[in-house]
Amino acid sequence: MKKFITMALVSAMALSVSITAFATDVKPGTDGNPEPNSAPTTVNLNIAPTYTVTIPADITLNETKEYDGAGKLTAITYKNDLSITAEAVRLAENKKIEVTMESDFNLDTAASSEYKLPYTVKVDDSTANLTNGGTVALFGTNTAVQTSTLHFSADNPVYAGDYSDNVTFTIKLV
Amino acid sequence: MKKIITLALVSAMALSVSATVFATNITPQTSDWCNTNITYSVAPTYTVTIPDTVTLGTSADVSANNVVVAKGSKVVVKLTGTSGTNNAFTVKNTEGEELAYTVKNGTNNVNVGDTVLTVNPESATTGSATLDFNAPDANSIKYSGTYSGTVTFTVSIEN
Repeated sequence: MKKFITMALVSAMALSVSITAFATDVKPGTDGNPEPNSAPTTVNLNIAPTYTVTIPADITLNETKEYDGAGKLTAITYKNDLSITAEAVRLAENKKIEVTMESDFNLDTAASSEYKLPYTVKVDDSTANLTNGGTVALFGTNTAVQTSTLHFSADNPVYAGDYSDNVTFTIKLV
Repeated sequence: MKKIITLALVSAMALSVSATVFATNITPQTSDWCNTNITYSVAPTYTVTIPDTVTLGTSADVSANNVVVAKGSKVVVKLTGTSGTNNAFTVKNTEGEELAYTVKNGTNNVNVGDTVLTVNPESATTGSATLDFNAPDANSIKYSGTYSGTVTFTVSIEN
């Protein structure tokens, strides 16, 4: 029984603007001396934000069996981890990349099927279940690779079949 | 008998004039000389063009045209200051993060106080200098954003 979760990715873009340059003309004043005798030149530098955020396109939940001390099977669950990474992140100071996830947190064998298999997602060491639109990663300026790990878990389903769900990740600067 | 008629002719004439004159009339009966002062004032002219903005990683031209100044004089343009601390060549973002850059005139680094352009009308009435405003080392740029600063050019007429 295979379970796939397909991710869709949405990202935002930046806008750049160009301007026309002007100049100051210095000419003789009434006394023949330069007027004005000095002029400033503004020096500009624009550094665009850069980053690479990688989100796997799919994740397969694997069967996990738990046993008690006597070796008796106590539970069957389906679990797996998904890592979201960011590298070469250079943002404006005090800015971060936020990744959020939208999901109904239900697996099914078909959109029309009545039976739904709920699943949960926890982020890194958090004990709270992720909610729809919740933040799954927050990355700041850093040259090192940054990782956020999502823990997917579903109970043992009642029915056999190939279960799947689509989730949507959104990336934005905050 | 010889008659000698001696003729003596004496004539004297004195003429004096006291007045401010813009011209002297010379008549056939008189001869005189005068001086006429001819003056022509030539005001100094020049147009020195200083760019208002420059983006690091590009060049900017400082030029002087139609230079007419007193003999022995020349138009001099110097880079006399920056907005950086202690006149350092730096640009800064709104959070105060600074990045250093350099300015070159050909192969020479330009320092504060250096002359970037001299135009001596005895040899030429126009001139220009292309200054390279070099971007900071990429490894030194930690944050994205807009950085800015200023450099100041001063124009003078020197001997």
